[in-house]
Amino acid sequence: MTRRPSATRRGWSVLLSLALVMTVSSPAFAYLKFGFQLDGKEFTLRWSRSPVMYFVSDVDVPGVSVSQFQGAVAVAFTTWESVPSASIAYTFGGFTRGLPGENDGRTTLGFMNAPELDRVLASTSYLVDGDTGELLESDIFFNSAFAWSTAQAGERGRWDVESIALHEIGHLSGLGHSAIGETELLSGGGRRVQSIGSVMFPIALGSGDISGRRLMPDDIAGISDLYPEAGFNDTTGSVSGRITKNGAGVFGAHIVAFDLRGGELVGNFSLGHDGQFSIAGLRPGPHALRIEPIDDADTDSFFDDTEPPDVNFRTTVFERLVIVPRGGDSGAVQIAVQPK
Amino acid sequence: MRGRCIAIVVAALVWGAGQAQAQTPGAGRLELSAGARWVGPIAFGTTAATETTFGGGKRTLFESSSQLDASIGGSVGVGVQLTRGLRAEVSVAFSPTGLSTRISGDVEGVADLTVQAPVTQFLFEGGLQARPARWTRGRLSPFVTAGMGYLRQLNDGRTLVETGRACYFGGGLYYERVATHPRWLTATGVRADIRALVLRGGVAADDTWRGAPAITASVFARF
Repeated sequence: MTRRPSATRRGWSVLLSLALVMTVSSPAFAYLKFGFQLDGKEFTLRWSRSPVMYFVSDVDVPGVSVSQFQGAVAVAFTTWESVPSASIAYTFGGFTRGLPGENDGRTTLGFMNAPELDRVLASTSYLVDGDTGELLESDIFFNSAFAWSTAQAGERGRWDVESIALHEIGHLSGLGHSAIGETELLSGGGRRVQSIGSVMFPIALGSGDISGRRLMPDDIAGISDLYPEAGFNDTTGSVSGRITKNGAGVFGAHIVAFDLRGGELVGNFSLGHDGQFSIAGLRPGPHALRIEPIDDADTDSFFDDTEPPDVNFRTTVFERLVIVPRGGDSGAVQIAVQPK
Repeated sequence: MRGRCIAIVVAALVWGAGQAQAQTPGAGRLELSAGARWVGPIAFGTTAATETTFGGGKRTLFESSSQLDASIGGSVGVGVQLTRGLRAEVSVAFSPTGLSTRISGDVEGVADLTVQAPVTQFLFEGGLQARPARWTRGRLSPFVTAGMGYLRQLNDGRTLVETGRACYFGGGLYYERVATHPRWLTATGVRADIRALVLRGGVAADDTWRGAPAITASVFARF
């Protein structure tokens, strides 16, 4: 998991950080809500107030003026805000001389030069009240060591601000990474993205690409689950169950629910050693479940080294269709996978 | 499509009235029937699981092809004589069936397989039946029928109820014996229906009307 609790502690605030990584390496998570522990208490990372006010650093980079940057991120905010089943809203507070990462109580987006982060296009950090767990601030820095663009049709060799902002704003809102996407090993090492099924997939498709400007069903389910509009929980359902291998729970299996009616893909992981999983925000109706190990080259990007996920099993399609009820859960689904 | 359903029913009514002849032997005011119904499979087509590639293209992870399986269940009905040769009918058909989906072409080499979910289906129907007396040959009496219906499908755990609409048209044959005893019973026999069912909604369907054949064999009594 790419969420890394920072050693930084300022007063009663805690800084957390996430990163969107470029085309090599591949952290991934299904549309998870970020949770964290403070003094033994569990919190879900989410905004308790809406609209979320954000500021934009008054910093230009070659090819992108500050106003162009602000325009592109505003569109990305609007894309998240326009999800009809989610209630979160954002508002532009103005330009600032402050920079992302400064714990000033202002949610700030902007460019910073970090050439040493040669795989990080952008990164989101959080400032959380150490007593209440309330999210106080979330900053997004865009690495100006890369070439950027806000061109409507994208620009070859330059990363699209709107696409990357859309991903990072998902983090800013409390979403983790999604694993709905495919990568392939490169002969020289590392991985290349073949396809993505979620804006929250951790690796961008490539410079010049603008297909990441549109949210996908996994993203919509995630933001709606985190900030449900009235009636969302009554009109959608969930699948839950347990993944086992040789009778024991499987930790870190990636489960994708496939909606037979529309073809939507929404995923999550089994996050306990008992193999328990849950996928919420699904349209009621029949779903096929596909279970796969995460890319074994990247497990340390998802999970702590101390808790490696089980990747030693075959990709499996559950032998039964699961009917997702309206406003409820499918009931415990038991899925056995076979070792490779 | 609803308009088409109504048009068929109205056509049957007009046609039936025009064809009305002398009272059919063995006709009674009320008809009760009970029997078995077979409903053919209903295909829902293919849906692909896709992801987005560089430049906005699509990459298919796997494909699914779904159908509501053929089923055999029960059916009971009540008919009321409206005019000579024309009867109004209502019925309810029940059938345990299953939704089957074929998953194929998985990019990670998962073998093709069919996954299923049991579904219980209820179909409430109402329509008209025209049975002109001049068509009757001995104990055989053909008829045509058309109507509309309400579809209700439940998954196995009863956790999801989906509804839909239906319409049907078809025909059939009575093989009947005039009853002389007791006095209130006018006829008994068997009845076979062949219908074209057109359904919309339900557990697996989108808003597309889809057709399936249905064959019902039942025993009846007229009073």
